[in-house]
Amino acid sequence: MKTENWNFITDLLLDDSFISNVTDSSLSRQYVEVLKKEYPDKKKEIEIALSIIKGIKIEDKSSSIKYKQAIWDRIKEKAALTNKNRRKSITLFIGIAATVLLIIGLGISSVFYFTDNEKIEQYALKLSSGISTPGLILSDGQQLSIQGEQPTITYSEDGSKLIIDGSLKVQKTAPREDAYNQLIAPYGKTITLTLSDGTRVWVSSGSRLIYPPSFNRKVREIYLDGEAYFEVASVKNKPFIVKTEKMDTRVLGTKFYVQAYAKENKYSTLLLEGKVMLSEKKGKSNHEVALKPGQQGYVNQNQNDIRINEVDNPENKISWIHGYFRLENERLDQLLDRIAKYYDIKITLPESLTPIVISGKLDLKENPETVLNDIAVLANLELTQEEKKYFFKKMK
Amino acid sequence: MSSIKKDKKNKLTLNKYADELASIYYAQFDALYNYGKRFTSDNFLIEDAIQNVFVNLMLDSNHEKINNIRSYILVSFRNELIRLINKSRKHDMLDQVKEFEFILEYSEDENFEDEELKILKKILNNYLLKNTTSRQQEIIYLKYNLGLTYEEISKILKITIESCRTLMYRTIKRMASDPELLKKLRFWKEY
Repeated sequence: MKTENWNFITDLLLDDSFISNVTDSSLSRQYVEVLKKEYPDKKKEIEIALSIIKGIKIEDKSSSIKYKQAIWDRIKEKAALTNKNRRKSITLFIGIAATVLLIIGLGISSVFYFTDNEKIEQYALKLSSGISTPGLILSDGQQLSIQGEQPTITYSEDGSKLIIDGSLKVQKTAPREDAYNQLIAPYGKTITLTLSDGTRVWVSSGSRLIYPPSFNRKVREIYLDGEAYFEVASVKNKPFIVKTEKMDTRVLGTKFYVQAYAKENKYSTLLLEGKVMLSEKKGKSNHEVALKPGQQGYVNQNQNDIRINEVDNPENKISWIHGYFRLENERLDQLLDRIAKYYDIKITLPESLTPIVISGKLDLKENPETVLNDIAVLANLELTQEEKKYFFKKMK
Repeated sequence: MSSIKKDKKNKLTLNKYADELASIYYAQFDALYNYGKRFTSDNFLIEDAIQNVFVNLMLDSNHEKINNIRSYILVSFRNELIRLINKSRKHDMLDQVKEFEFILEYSEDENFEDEELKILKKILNNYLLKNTTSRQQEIIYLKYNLGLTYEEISKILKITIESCRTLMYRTIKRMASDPELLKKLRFWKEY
């Protein structure tokens, strides 16, 4: 028996066209016949090479399309998830870089502005276009009206409970960091508010105060639109900031009186005890001004910077928190201005009467007419009224 | 602003590429799965390796630079599967001494309708198990089953194209000249 030419078998097995034609089962038989005709003396070698390739080739199993789809879905899911995480870390990195830049840009004196909560101002802005009826709105959306002669609101330490005019209320949702309460004092009333940190705030009539039910952040921030007197409880390393549209007052623990009237572009802070730092936000200088007790800092309307006034009897300026105005040579026009704000009324005074000064104690009653009548008697003036408008005239 | 634009651009390319990848995935799945079966009988490891390869491709933004996607996928699949196998073996102290093997064997339950084919496979299987290394078995698989070029094989086996040719030539020459094998094949053929 003649032995096969193994060199020829090897050549066939290494030949790419032989491999591709033979491994394709539809062509293999036909191809082999053609090849046999071409090499008639190598028929056996061709047959053996064909057998080897057939025997070597593993039959591929094909998986079901469902199985493939399930794995592909997992791939897409995992890729999307990984991609998200990558993006997140990139954003975070950019965020950190921006923070560093901003701090460098602002300078050290303004670092405290870069608190982790700028939201209170955004929240205030959002609300100022919304509800403006007097009352208290809790972080879970509850709306409470405020009654009584001298309303008081007191928060529990965690901010979840509050006592309003002697009755207990509970905020349904646990206080979140971004949840705020909004208080709008009714006209003709001053609300005595005790915040969760023990800080006492006398919110003047018609004023709006926004604050978190509990101070969970590094900085205690509240927002004021109107006027309020503060006795800030001292909490170590946790400054208290009264934000207003134009001016911020930053303290650690002290007594001060803030007026912020956007409509009149009037912003001032009067310090009674301790130390506060003032900063004007819209101007270019952006530096802090320290106040001493008895000083009143205010925003100069033209220059957008902060000026300081010495106030003789600062206690008199905050006497309204006790339900009266303590007046000591107070100019009539300035007094009437305060009263008009307090009761949300319009008072007209002839120019000739502005130099009149008044001293004494003026009780702030619910009815502005009584208060104005008292003034009329005190200053020997005549008072007339048309709806919410009041006119002073010289006695005839 | 520029970073946002860049992000959007990346996202677009990623999505566009995802569609292309899907068709590659469905076309290559069986080949990868069967190739993986030569390394391990653990289906979960094979699934995981396929999954990881395509997840990485989806996230890779440099995909345009890959000229031969098929061999790229095969190479990364092989690397990933070996990594997973070694990882799973680490937990098994008894198996730790075992070296990685490319096992070219036919399962008994494989139901061949063709009696001729069944006998051929048994003959070749016995020969390969007795006379070849796992590396030789793998190159045979890559050549005859996957029909790869030497260039592609060289990337997978991490040797030069010349070394591939030499390895292949030696393996085939020895097989084609093996008297035992030829005798069996001839006997069966003549019968």
